This record gives sequence, C-alpha cells and structure tokens, in this order.
Amino acid sequence: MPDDPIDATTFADLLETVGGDREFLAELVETYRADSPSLFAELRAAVAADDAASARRAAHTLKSTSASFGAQRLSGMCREIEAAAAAGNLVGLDESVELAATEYARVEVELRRRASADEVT
Amino acid sequence: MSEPGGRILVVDDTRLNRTILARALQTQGHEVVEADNGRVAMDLLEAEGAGGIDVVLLDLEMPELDGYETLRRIKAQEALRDLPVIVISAVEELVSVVRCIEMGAADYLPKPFNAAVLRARLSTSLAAKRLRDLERDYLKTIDRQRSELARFLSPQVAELVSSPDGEALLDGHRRVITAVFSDLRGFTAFAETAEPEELLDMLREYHAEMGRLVVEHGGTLEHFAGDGILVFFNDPVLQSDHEQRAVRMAVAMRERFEALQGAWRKRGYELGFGVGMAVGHATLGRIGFEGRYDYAAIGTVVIMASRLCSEARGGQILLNQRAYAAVEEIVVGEPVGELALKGFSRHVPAHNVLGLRSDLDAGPGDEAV
Repeated sequence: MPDDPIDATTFADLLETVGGDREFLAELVETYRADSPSLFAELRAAVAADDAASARRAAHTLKSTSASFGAQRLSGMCREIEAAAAAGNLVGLDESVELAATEYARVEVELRRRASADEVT
Repeated sequence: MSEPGGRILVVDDTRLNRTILARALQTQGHEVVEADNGRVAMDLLEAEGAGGIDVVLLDLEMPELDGYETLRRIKAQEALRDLPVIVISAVEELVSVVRCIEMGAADYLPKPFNAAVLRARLSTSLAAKRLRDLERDYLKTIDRQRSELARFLSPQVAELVSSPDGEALLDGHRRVITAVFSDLRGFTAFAETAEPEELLDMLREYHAEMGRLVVEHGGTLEHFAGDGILVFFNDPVLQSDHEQRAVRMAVAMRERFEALQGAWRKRGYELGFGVGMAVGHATLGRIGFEGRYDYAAIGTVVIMASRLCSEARGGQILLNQRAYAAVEEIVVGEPVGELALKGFSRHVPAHNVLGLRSDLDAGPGDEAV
C-alpha cells in the first residue's frame, strides 16, 4: 500500500522487539492512542501561547512515539514542528500542527486495525 | 543467549518508550528499573551504588535533568564512572550521539528500537561492565592485601611485595645501606622487675613513638625485638641521602626518648637510649621458610651497627668511620677512639654524634621540642 500511514517493516520490528506478544502490542497502541490527543492539545496551546519550549517538547515526544510504530510521515511532520519550535519560529506552525493532527487520525485508524489483525501485514 | 541477564536502568520521560524498552529487555532476560527523568535516575544510582545497575539506557530529551547532564554526572562520580551508558537516539540525532560518546557514553541505541540491535548493544556493554567489575574486585583484593600487609611489614616492604619488580628484589640483592640499631640501657633489669602489663604498655608507647619517626624519615623497619630496633635506609627504595636520613632519625629518636624518659622516671624507671649506626654493603632479600618469611638485611654492616649500639652509653649515637664521613657536614660529633668490637679483628674508629648542626647553631635552644 503506497499511501499506508504505517511502515510495515517498522511495525513488524516492534512486534519482534516486544517478544512477538500481540496482546502487549495492542496495549502499546492503546497507550499511544491515550497519550497522543493530550500531546496534540499541549502542542496547539503552546503554539497559541507562543511557548516555543513547550511546543518543542510535545512535538519531540509525538515524533518519537509515532516513529516507534512506523508512522513515518507523521513522525517527520512532528520533527519539522520540533525543529521550527527549537529555532523559536512559531509563525504558521498552527497550520503544520493541524496537518499533523489529520495525519494522526489516519495513523490511529490504521494502528487499531493492525493491532486487532491476526497477522502483521 | 546463554549469557546471564543484567539489571538495566531505562531513563526516558516518554512512557511508551519506557514500556517498549522494558518489555524488550525482559524478553531478552534482563531485569529492568525505570526512571522518567535524569534526576530520578541519579537518585536511584546513588542509592543503589556501583553494584546495583549494570547498564543505563539513557534518553537525551527529558525534563528536570536531561540526558547530557545525567551522563555528565554519572561520569563525574568515581563510583559510577565505569557504568556503561547507552544513549537512546533517533537516527536524525546522530550529532548528539557523537557528543555523548565524547562525554563517555559506551554506545547508542537507535530509535525506533530493533530487537537484534538492542541485544547486540546490551551484550557488548554488559560484557564490558562484567570485566570492569572483575577488575575492580581484583584491585580491591590487592589493595586490601596490601593494607593488611602494611600492618605487619614496613610500608616499603609491603609495597614491594605487590609491585612488579618486587619479586626480583625479594629474591636477594647486594647494596650499600645505612643500618641503625638502637636499644635501651637498663631495660633487662626493668623487664625483670616490672609487671607484664606495665612492661607491655611501656613498650607499646616506645614502639609507637619510635615507629612514627622511622616512617617519617623513610626508614625500613627490619624488626622490633623487645627494646631493640633495627632500621635500615637505601633499601628497598633507593635514597641518595640515606646516611643523612639515618642520622637525623637517630637524633630525633634520642630527643623523643628523652621526653618519654621524663615521664617514665616519675614512674620509677631509669632507662638510657643508645644507638649504633654503620654504612656498608649488605645482602637484602627474603629469608625464612615457606609460611614465614622476613625481609632482612644480612652483612657485617648490620652486626657493626648492633655492636656499636652495645658500646654506646645512654644518650650516645655511635657511628663507624664510613657513616660519620657521610654525615660530618650536618652533625657535630666527637671521636670516641678505636673500639674493640666483638667479632671484629681490627679496632673500629668511632664517633659520637652530639647533635645536628642546624639544631645546635640555632642557639641554646636545648629546651625546644
């Protein structure tokens, strides 16, 4: 699937890393789904308040956790937000955040599907 | 996979990363301790000490205390310095990794995590840690043995036993030394009448005071035998000024004895202190038998010092010709004639040392010290 928001190899690696335990993998996805919305909320608030340090931290965490699941496009978007915030440049960043949030929605759906699937595809 | 697991500290502020790593590590047979920032990690490491954790997996971006500062603090502590730290880093953060390796990090773990890479990195760091622990244990053992030896042997000899060229020196060698023999006049009579406790107390005090002076002047204490003390200089450590060190020690001992004698006199002991000092060749090394060896000096120089000591009246420091010639410029002495010493076919010219020039020039400061 060329437009797959999740990189299959990375996702398979993650499953192997946790010892092939699919249930545990599903728990990880749940943790990610539980934590990410508040990180996006933090990110939006920080950008609105011109708080570059907080924006950078939230983007950094989202970049890192998204990468763990193979959500490479989302991770890349967060990396750019992180870099912009690190440079203190928050202008127009709210738009980037919304684009990332849209990508996150796709990622979340796909992760749920994969986590409940019998096979890693 | 047959290697035993380690105890791994995972330091990462992101819960998800910690959870993934913890599970991955447990799957590979390790025990996991988690910390969500550097401060918590440092508290934990300091509480557990060096033995508690085998490897630290350290994230860099963290609130409170970030990875760089945590790494710096770990490397700054003697007890934690050897603890391998593996830095967790995304591929695009490789610049940070270089900085961390320069700061002393052992390795890095790329994010997202990969089981095979994690296993390889950990087994390398664990092996290094175990080697260092072994090394540390050995060093501790050697240190303990050395300090234990130092309680029985003179420090120079204890050092020798555990030094690389010690074995050769212990095997035996010839060298010019200065031998100093001292004992107490009137001691035998005192020992016959004193209570054993009184005698031991007095000897302990005497040995402690004299022993301190031996160490201060860098002498090698060969042995205490009752009131007799044999010290030599220029071995095993070479001392270009061994004759002068020896005579300074002898003078200091005499002064110290006089202070002790002041107190002993009040208790009714009447003792005198005599010294014999000689310079000459001796054979030095290990003598004795398996289970009980001594480091000893053997030669006429030792016998000469002992005989001169026997000849000395209370308060005298008698030197043979060679010893006196070597210290003449720093002492004030007087010839005491040619002495007939037991075991020596020729008469031996000897000098008594009245004091150090530096002390005597200072004026009538006899009351000093």
